Amino acid sequence: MASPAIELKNLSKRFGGLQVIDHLDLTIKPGELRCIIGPNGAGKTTLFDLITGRIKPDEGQVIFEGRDITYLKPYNVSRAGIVRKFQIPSVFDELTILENLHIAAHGQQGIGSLIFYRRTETSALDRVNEIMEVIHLSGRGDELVKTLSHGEKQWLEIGMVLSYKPRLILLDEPTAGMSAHDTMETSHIIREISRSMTAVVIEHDIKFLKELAEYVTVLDRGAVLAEGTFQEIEANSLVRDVYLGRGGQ
Amino acid sequence: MVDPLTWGTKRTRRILVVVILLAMGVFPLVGDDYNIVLVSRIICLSILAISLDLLWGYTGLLSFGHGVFFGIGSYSLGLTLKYFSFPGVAYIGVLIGISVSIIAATILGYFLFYGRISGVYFCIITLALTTIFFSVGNHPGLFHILGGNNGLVGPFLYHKFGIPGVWEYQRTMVSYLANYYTALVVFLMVFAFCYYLVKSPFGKILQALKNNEDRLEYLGYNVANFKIVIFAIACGLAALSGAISVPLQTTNPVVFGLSFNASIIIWIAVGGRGTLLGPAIGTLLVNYMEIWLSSEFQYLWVFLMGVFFILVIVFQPDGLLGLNLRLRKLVRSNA
Repeated sequence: MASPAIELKNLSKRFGGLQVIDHLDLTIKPGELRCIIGPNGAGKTTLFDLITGRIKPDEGQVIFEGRDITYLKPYNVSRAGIVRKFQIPSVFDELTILENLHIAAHGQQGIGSLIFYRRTETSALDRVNEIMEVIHLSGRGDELVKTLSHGEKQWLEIGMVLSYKPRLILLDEPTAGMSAHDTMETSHIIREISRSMTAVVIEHDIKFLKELAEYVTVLDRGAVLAEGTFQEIEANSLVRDVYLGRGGQ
Repeated sequence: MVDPLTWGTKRTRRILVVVILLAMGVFPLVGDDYNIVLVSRIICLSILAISLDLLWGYTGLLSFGHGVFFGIGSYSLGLTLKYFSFPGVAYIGVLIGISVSIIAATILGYFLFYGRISGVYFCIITLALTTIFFSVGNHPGLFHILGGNNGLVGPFLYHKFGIPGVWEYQRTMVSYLANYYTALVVFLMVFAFCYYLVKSPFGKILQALKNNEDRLEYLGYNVANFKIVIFAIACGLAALSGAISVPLQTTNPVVFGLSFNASIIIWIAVGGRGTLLGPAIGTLLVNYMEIWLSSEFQYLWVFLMGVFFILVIVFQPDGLLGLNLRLRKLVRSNA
């Protein structure tokens, strides 16, 4: 078996009196499209924070492609090939679509080359056009991002994080606040990009999960409750209890 | 927020630039001595304001101690002139001022930005700088070097610029034309530099930083480094403006004081922040207003300036240059 894309070993994090992540073990294979579900407060977003270096764990390790990235700062995690799409669209509102994508495209460059810029970076430009196709925003490069709809901003954000051909993309509720139509569009976009990279998606939307989910991990109170295909999870009574019965602790 | 740098058509802008440059170039030939000196000072202060705008308007870092770096520049040149004298000494003095400023800003920036200090806390720490430098500047123990409350005074402050050995000109307290044109040339060079910087990808990233710092970090940018670089550049330019102001206004600890440091912020806010021209216009407007008001209302003028400032912030926070955009919107909605 090929080495895992990302492995979480015995990860733990406590905030004050609350054990948010509890000795969590998780392994994701390269090229997988893994969905993570769980009730609110299960620790899903915290998990992403730990992987991307936004917070440090109390115990445990995050191993990406065989390399221990547990204590790397977010910009280094990004340079290592892991990108993140936030729950609330996180883009540069005051700039245009094209400017947003160009900034995303220069993420790995040093400051010097950004001040004394030479317009020979055509490969970066081609990539930008490619990305605009994937996220269905072609031809609208000069529009100001703050005029975009919620769904369009989500897609723009996905497009931005694709600039450096990441190997792992973390999507935090990519369809949050979207219409049914946009949700379908998003699932198509995600299916397309997951062909060339590993993707981990936190989601609640059942239709979306039915459409996309290959393998699902259910989190509850900071630990893995169950794992399996969507059908297996749907039929799992323990999972049902957690969502319906004991929900709202 | 309107960007005056892209207002109108290219042709209109070119014509406007030529007209303004001509006006600025010809002004001393038609103005009286008093106003020439005043405008020369204002030009130096505009450079200072523009440098703070790079930091505040474009990057979102509000420094309450930018005048400190202005002071570092002027004291550096003053002290160099006090203790040394050789052809080109003035240039060395200016370079020392800029270097000390950049080094200080880099060191301070390293600890601040890698320590994740930003927002209000950055304001507070830069404010603390003013207290520190004000006491150093006024310190009785250093009186024989720095001149305490009076600052650096004396004919040693007169210096020569130009090309040593080929063509030199003297700057004294009464060489009005020399002072004016020196300030003007430096202003134009600084403005061109800032314009280039702001239009470059680096400039766009600074705006992105102000807009959404987290997202920038997650795209692989070491945000702290960017902040350090722009902080160093802004402080270096502030020192340059301070050095150029040397024979024009006294080099004393007033520039380390809260009043001066707060004034810079007011000039930028009134003119329009995040637009390189705004700070220059704001500096001109506010300084002339102060002079006019203080001659009309001997005691009330400070109060009136305060009221004016409050009105600007409440009703037109984008400053004067923001008015254009507002008028355009009004016209469109009524059409």
